[in-house]
Amino acid sequence: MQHLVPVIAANLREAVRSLYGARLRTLLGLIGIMIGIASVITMISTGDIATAQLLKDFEARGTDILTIRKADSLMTAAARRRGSRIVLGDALELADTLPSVAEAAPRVQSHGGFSYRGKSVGNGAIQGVTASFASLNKLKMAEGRFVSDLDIGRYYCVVGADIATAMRRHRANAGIGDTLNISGRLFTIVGMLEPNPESYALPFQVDANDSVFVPITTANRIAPKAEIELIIAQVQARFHYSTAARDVQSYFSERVRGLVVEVTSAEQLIEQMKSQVGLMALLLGAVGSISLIVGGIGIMNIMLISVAERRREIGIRRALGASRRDIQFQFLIEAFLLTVSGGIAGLLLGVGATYGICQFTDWEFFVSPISGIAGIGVSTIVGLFFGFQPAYQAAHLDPIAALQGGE
Amino acid sequence: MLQLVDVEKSYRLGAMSIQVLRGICLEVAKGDLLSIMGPSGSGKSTLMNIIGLLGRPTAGSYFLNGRNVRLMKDRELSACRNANIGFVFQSFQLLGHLTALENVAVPLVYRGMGRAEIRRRARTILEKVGMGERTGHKPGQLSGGQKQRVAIARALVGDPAVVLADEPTGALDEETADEVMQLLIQLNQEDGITVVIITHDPSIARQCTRQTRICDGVLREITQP
Repeated sequence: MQHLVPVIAANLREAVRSLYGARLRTLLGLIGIMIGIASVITMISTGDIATAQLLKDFEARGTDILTIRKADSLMTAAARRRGSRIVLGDALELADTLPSVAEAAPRVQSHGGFSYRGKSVGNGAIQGVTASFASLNKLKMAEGRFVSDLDIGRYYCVVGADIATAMRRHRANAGIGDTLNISGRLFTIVGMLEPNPESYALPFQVDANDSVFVPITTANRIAPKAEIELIIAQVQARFHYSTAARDVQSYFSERVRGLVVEVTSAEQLIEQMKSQVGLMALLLGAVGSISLIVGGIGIMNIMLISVAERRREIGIRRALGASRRDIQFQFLIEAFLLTVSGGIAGLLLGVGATYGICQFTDWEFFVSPISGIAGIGVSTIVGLFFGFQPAYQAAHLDPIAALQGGE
Repeated sequence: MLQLVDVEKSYRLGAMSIQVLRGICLEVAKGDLLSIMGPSGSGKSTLMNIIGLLGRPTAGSYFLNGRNVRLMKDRELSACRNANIGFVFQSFQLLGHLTALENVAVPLVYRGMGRAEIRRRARTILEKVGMGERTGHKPGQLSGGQKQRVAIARALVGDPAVVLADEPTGALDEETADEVMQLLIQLNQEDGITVVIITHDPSIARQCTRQTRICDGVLREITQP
């Protein structure tokens, strides 16, 4: 076994020489493996980065947020017929009553068209909200103020960034104090919002850019039948979200007979989304693996051609004392070298592609070490797996026939 | 040193069995210069492959340095071939992408020898066959006679028990053929190297100290040892 080092070194030199000798073929095989490895790495890394991004989005919004909705499907038929629903007063008293809930912001939502000085400036959600809705959803004011709890029943509104932009297209200095026609009613604009960044933290992210916000009491007046379809609540710091969720559920069932609410917590949702992203990464990885297999078959093809072309060489080497194992080793090393260099090139390409995707989507770029290890490891395995058959074939050529096979 | 006892070789061709060698008995001693002559189809190539450990006899025994090669596994057989047999082929069988020096080095690579030592030995042996000036040339840049000299150097480099030359002058013109033949004779006489030459050419065979003839798979000694 002390012979092994010079033999491996000689085989490596021979492999480099032979691969270089068939440059074009080597290059084509290399590209096949490279694309396979690159796609697997891109898909794994992009999945990792998307997950990290998702977490960051949630963390920016706070993972202590709950959404509360009426759960019709969990209510009895009698309760549904009775029209059991969340009542505004109960929603407003939620935070004061339950120690586990720090703040609560109910919302009544309807849809309508908006016009400014007789011209349409879009249509979207009319969200009836309370003052705390802005802070819980991290809405930022560009101008003026948000809806206040003192605006009871007043026709005041806060417009989203898209609507503000549309208004300014009609009149450059449109702003606070102007009148907006919302579904036929005139509202005074008291504030304008900054553009709300897109986020993957839905449904904890409300769509604000093409919405108008009005006091919840006003919304009730416009549409008396509109229900409170959503309450966004914040869990008190020292409480676990599941405690808060249980408290909220029993609170509403005590207040209104037969009312059942569904409470979703951000943390719970993060878990779900993580597993979804994980599944997605797995699927994409599977697609990438197929291209890797195709690349591997390409390697096998190249190695088979190489063996066929070098029958005479194999015969000569056998005559000069190469054992079957030596020949097998020689061709395996060649396949290995081919796939590993393809793997390294693929790794670089994959990392580059991931960087490109991150540039395009504004995600934060990083390379997970696992993808690097996987890239090199997988290409090694592919090389050995698809290189085995040609190498075996080479090793088991009859040396006499192989010697005659050439010239 | 090299002893074949009742060696037979047959091939199956469909349902038929073709017997190529019929009870060959041959003993080669160290320092012999032996020719095996026969027309094509006589079984001389098959015999050479068996002596050269590239093929195994169907029946009979082959002792090389006292060991029965029929019982050897591939790795052992390959190592034995590497250590004991030096081939010289009619068509040279050099590797085209390697230089003369690298071609000569191949048998030693399979011995697991260090690179510097391999190069030193290969260079020495190339000088011995008169190719010391062309160690860096590739076979394509050499004449037929030069190629055969490189091939002879490759056969000698591992200090084999026997050099097996299969029609060594068959692809060469008369003058070069004579030079190559003289080289083999010189190696035999001066260095005591055992040489077995397979040929169909009586003028080559006559230059050997021991001559045998194979016909229809039967080997007969012409000269008496």
